[in-house]
Amino acid sequence: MESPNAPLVLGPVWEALHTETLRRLADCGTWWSGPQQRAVLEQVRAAPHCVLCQERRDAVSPSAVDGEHEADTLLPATAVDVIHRLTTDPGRLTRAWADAAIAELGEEAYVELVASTSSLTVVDRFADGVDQTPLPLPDAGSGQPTCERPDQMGDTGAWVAQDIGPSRANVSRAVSLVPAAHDIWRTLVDQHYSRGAGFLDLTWDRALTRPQVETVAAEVSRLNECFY
Amino acid sequence: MGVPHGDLLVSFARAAVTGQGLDSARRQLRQAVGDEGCVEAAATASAFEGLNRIADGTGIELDLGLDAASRELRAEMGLEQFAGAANTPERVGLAPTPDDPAALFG
Repeated sequence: MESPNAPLVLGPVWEALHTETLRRLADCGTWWSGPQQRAVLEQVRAAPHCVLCQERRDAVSPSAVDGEHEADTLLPATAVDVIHRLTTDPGRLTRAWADAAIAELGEEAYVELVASTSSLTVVDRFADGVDQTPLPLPDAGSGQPTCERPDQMGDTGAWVAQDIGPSRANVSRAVSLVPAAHDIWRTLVDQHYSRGAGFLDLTWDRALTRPQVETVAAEVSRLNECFY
Repeated sequence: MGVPHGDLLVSFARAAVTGQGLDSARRQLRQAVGDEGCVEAAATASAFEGLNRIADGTGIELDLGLDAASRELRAEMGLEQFAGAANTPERVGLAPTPDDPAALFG
């Protein structure tokens, strides 16, 4: 081990993965344009500094605090609310809140917001965890959203439609309504945690054992009050 | 016998989520599990920061097998109090058979 005060040395896979993830996240989306996608990323980074979000976090119920998010952005206010709430207080989202957002934004656009917000959260929180400066956001991609909804989507009991094909667990198909965003997300989580078929091995041959990894996972989920 | 360095891993996870005391938690964990172990812990914590948001943002319900297998543990730990519990309907008579783990992330 290096001196505990020396910067952690990361393998090249991490920078390559995260740089490519950011490039894809800022590219033209399926339902949001490149400039809108980049604006989503900007709001993910702005949310922790938003006064309204801090007041809601401190309230017994987030819906008890009215107001507007501090956001100078081209995104509609509802999109900003989705990004900020998901970033700063994910454990207290409700179906009524999501239904209202989906009614205004559209189901697919809502899902793409959730996927982009969650993906950037992974990248940025990793940087925090290893004490590195967050990667700069790339320029927005060009092009027009195709707004194509895939086939085989249906009601699985979630707030949004998902892939109803065989043998997919709910967490694994959560954002399948937008395949491009789903692919970004799955690629990221596979490298960070599940590692393909290695997920089935209960005695991971990694720097941490499987029980050690799951200890971290459980504590993070407990603090976020994630029921799933 | 608990998880080796479990206390340090929990402290690191907590610091990673709250942002409080992260430098100290990282330093202690690093001394215990080494650089690669520390990076692995950061990778896991950040993955679950995202996974939690994916799950709560889409309102997914527990899969049938996971629901049945974790029922007693959830009650014991008070997890039914989490807002996301409302996303899973009450199901009666489920056999405690876990889902195929390959389907979770495969």
